[in-house]
Amino acid sequence: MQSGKPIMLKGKACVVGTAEGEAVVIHDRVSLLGEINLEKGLIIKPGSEYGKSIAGKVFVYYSGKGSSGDTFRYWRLQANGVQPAAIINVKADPIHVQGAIVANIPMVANLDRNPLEVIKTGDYVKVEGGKVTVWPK
Amino acid sequence: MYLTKEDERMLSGEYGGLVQEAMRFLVKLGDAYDAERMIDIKYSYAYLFSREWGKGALNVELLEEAAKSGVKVKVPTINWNYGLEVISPKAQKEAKVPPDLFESVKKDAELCRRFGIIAVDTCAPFLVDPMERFPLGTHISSIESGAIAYYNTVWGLRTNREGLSAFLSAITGRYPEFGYHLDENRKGKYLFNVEVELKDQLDYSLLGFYIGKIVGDEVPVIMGIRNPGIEDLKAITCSMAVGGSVTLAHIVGITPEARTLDMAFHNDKPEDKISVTSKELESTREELADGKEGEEVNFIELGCPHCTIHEIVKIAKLLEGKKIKEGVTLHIQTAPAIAYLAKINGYADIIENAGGTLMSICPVLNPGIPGPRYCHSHPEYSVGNIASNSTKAIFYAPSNANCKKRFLGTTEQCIKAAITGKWG
Repeated sequence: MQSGKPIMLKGKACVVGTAEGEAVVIHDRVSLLGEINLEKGLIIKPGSEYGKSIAGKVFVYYSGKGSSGDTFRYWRLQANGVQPAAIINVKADPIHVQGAIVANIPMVANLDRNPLEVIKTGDYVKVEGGKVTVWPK
Repeated sequence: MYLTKEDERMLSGEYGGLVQEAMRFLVKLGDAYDAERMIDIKYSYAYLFSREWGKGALNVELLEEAAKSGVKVKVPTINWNYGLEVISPKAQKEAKVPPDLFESVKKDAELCRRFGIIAVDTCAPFLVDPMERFPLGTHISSIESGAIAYYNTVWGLRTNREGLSAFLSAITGRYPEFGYHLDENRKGKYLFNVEVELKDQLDYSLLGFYIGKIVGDEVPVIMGIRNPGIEDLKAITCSMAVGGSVTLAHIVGITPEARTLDMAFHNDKPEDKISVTSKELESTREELADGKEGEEVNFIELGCPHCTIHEIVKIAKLLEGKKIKEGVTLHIQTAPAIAYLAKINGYADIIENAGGTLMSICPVLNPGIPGPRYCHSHPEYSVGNIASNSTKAIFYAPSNANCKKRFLGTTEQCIKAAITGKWG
């Protein structure tokens, strides 16, 4: 936990739950197919977060895109023990919501502030239902 | 969410554990979007993928128990189960599917039969099971991003982007009412004026990818597309779902609910207008494909989404009497039903004699090689330099085939590369 002043956000709990961890933030839509290594939970989408792990992290990205098989890929991440602790999206894609339901990952979207502007990779984040608390790095 | 008495009975476990968990899942999904009620669906295109099922509330034991106790789908349901059982021995060998996965695919085929699901084993089911006879606006439940966009855009059916929910809504016959099932979410947002003549399927694929990148998950309205073929429509809808996550596009004059511009925008104005010229198509190609003329090509992927019989005839004619270069791999993907047509009409033999392989399992979903499972755990493996006429195939190739250079061209350019082993 960090000592800085926490920032609070409120949104829609797509999957209700409590989790916390370090944030890893992608400023774009994400497709697990092709952009995440499912065996190791590593980001393989080109960009500043390339090579970083999503395992046990609070995974913040704009929304899902692409393959409808991503529901099953959240299951695969879980089976491989490398699923994120929580998911925070700007917009909730139904495929990724379903992935969060099956793998039982707390998920929040439609926040009162843009999480991509508030949360930076490395910040410490806690998700409780629709409530998000951010401790900046 | 309002639930009917029958919904409540399903939720209470009266019809067994799987139906109960299915309903719980659908209620959770509906709650995520503040759905007010459940609606009936009339058709489903689903995945089963039982080997991916986790250990939670929905699990394989529940699935098998339900199949044994006689649970059936409530609506006509088709599914995608790789088509490994029916494709040619050569294709089976080429897909390099590990024996344990092959067994799990066979197990799924058997489970599907017991649930009353028909395996079509294709990413383009609209080519082999035409459901356009449904009244405009019929609610369905579909997987496969490209097919979802096709059903909404070309046939005017209504489905969200579905995953496991497609199967779960098939066995309950129900789906939460949200997203693209509601009129207000089907209104066009951005207007794209196509000011370039689209000459080839590749142009439609590039245009779709470009539009998808701009609109993300919003509804684009596309003006200026005249007399597209089925191949063109499957190329554009599929690529919009790769560049972005487009579920519905209004192609004015083609999309049934968008015969006019006013219908597409629900009598409102577009938020923005974007002109598309050859410049945008070329920059999209350059963004996706880094291969240059004269460079070596090792792997050619056609049929993404799966080829129509007419595409196969075209490819066979280009290959007739020729041989592809030694060491070069040419995969032509199609539905098993269409592969059968190609076989009885003699085109499959022409393709195989030239050294190509007709198959139903592409690198995007191949549980063997190349495919994401193998390629992610074997970074040293590579298909080499890859060429395709599809932005989807090329977009996913670095991850699912560990490719090196990428080439995007017309079918003719791709076949030429297969024969010469070089691009251009």
